[in-house]
Amino acid sequence: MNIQTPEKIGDLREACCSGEPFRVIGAGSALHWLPDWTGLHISTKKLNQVLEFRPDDLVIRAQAGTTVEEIQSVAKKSGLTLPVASPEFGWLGYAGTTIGGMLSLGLPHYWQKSTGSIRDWIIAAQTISSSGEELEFGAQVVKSVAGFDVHRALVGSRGGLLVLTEVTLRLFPIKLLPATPECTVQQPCWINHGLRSQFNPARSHLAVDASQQFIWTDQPLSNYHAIGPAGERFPQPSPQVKEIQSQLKKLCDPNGVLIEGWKS
Amino acid sequence: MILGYNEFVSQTAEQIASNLGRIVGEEKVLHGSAVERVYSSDAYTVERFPPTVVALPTSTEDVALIVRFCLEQDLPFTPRGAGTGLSGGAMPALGGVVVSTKKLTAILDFSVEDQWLHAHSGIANLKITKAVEPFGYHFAPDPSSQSVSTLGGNIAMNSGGPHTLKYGVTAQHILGLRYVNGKGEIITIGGPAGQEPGYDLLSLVIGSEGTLGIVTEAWVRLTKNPSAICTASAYFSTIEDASKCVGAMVRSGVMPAALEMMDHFVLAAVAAAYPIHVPNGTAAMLLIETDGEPESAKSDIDELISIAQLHNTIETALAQNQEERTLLWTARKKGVGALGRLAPTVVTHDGVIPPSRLPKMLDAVYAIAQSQNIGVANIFHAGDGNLHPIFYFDEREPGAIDRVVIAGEMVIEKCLELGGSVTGEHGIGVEKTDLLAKMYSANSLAFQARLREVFRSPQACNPCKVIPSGKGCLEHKVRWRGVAT
Repeated sequence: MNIQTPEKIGDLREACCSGEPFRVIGAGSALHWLPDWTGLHISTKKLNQVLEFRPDDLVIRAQAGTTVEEIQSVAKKSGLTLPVASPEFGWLGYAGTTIGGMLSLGLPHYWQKSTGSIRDWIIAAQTISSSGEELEFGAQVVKSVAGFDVHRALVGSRGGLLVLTEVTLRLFPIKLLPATPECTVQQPCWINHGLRSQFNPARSHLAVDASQQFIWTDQPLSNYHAIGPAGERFPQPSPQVKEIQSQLKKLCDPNGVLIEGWKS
Repeated sequence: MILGYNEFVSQTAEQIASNLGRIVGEEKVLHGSAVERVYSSDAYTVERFPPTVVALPTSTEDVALIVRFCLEQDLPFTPRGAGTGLSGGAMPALGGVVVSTKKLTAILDFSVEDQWLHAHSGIANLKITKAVEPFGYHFAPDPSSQSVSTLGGNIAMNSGGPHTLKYGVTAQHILGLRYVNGKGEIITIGGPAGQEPGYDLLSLVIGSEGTLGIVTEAWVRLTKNPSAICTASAYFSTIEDASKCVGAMVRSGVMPAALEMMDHFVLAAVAAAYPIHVPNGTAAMLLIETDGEPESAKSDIDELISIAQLHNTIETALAQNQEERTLLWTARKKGVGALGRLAPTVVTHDGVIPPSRLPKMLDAVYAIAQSQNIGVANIFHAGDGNLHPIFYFDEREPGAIDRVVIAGEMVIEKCLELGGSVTGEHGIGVEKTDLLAKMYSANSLAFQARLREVFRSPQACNPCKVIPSGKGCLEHKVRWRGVAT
């Protein structure tokens, strides 16, 4: 596997617009969830600086290759956190993961009820397109409605649209989190085909994101791998929605060199 | 005769109304001078342009028929909810057809167990909450206009409100949308179970201010009512103490459900209209609310009150019952209206700064008003740094409007200088289109403008808004930032 790990934004830009198809990755800790790709991988993991931390405004700005652990250790000093699963809550899934990787995957998490989904935490992003354009979205404040929320749409895009280089996130007071996880997690699993019943994000034992086809549950996984009694499945995009998604892909990546992140 | 943007359109408003009436029913089409006046603006009354006709669809299918009619006739079309928008988003900038959701108000289905509700986009925000109140749920976004502003309008602007500090803005509460795109096709994204796999489209449509299509239905997330709510007021003798207190509360680790500030100018106007108690010497009041389980709500409010007391309060008071809570909130939500008592004209601004910069920002706001010799009052969402400075003046006084315009520009410039945004919740509309260039590079704006192509939304769909392009839009120059009420 050919992996490039540029250390400067300029080098990253150059690598992105070589014209050669590539997959953008962070630390590569979630590759097993993505479709196989043996070609060029460009990793942001050496672009790993925390650029700004403003605890009084609950805001942190960091390069995309910064690890989640680094963000957490900086935030923790001021009693703040990104309320994602971490080793202290029993799951090692984000060990070594970069913040860019975490956002690109956009998994549900078990504090979702108190703190919203990961998509709700991103307030601004700097990106590079596969044609080398630098594009920025959002604002450095927790509330803004200026312009389109492209930064939110990049969460869960699995690297298929634009390359994240820098993100600004809203943090949460550690004190705010309930003492026990709202979803008693065994492990996250990826459900590709079918469900026990229609997904219900409201049920307390689930943390779920239908768009990512992920569920965290304390139920036996076998419950979820079958198609439901009435044949229910995760909602699937209509041909019209697929068409809009494909137009969005074309706008972001006109030459189609960024490898898409969904397994078919 | 008022024509649409296409100067080659040769039909009169009567002909257009009659042709459209044949398609959707004549009772659903309005025209005439009264209609032209009423629908020529939303609550941003500075910019006006009359529509040719107004359509009042009663179904998503009606909206699709209307849009297809507009395309055939080369007429621009502009969606409109209750018309409470504060940036001109529902103004028919080039005339044509205003598509009002006034009759699209049904609740179509809901599940309390699964915490979602499916409704037409013209339903008033508060009606959703009222409908599910008996089951112990509510719809969390609560803009001050919520008794009339519509779900569709909230989605278009990604509206906030006092409680979005804790519960998040509209985008966090939308599970799915049905809309009519700029080609007259009906598209459904997501639904009760959330969005489909693949790229996130909801985040792009929500907050697009009606430029990517006309949202006709939505599935919203219902939020369980907290079992206890504690509301308190804290009165400070200086603005500085109050704004420093906000910063201290934000970093305290206690998340208030709402944290609102009203300065003494607002309080004076409110006290004249409502029986609220304002201690002598008050420069600013904070309205503080916590919610959750009874014990935690109480301990949180106690902690916040003690933080307030460290900032030289004159007085703090915990609302003892629902009546006292309601009075505090009435004062907050009707505060802008009460300002009409101070001067014949008031202009509300909307900007955001990081909350820690609040003391600096408020100093600047008062200094700017003084430098321009106009009055200013502040009533706003302090916890998330979302300012609403309100200039009050007499527009008949020569030069007053010019000074208000200059002051507005200065306020927004200061927000940007302190690392904020040009709008926190009122939107870009026609009012702030030129300001986006101060936040984004030309590349980024060009990219955002092309989202219309992604969603098959021609310039005729709510023309001249957010990122204007196309013929005719140049005439809509910003004359007066803010809104006269």
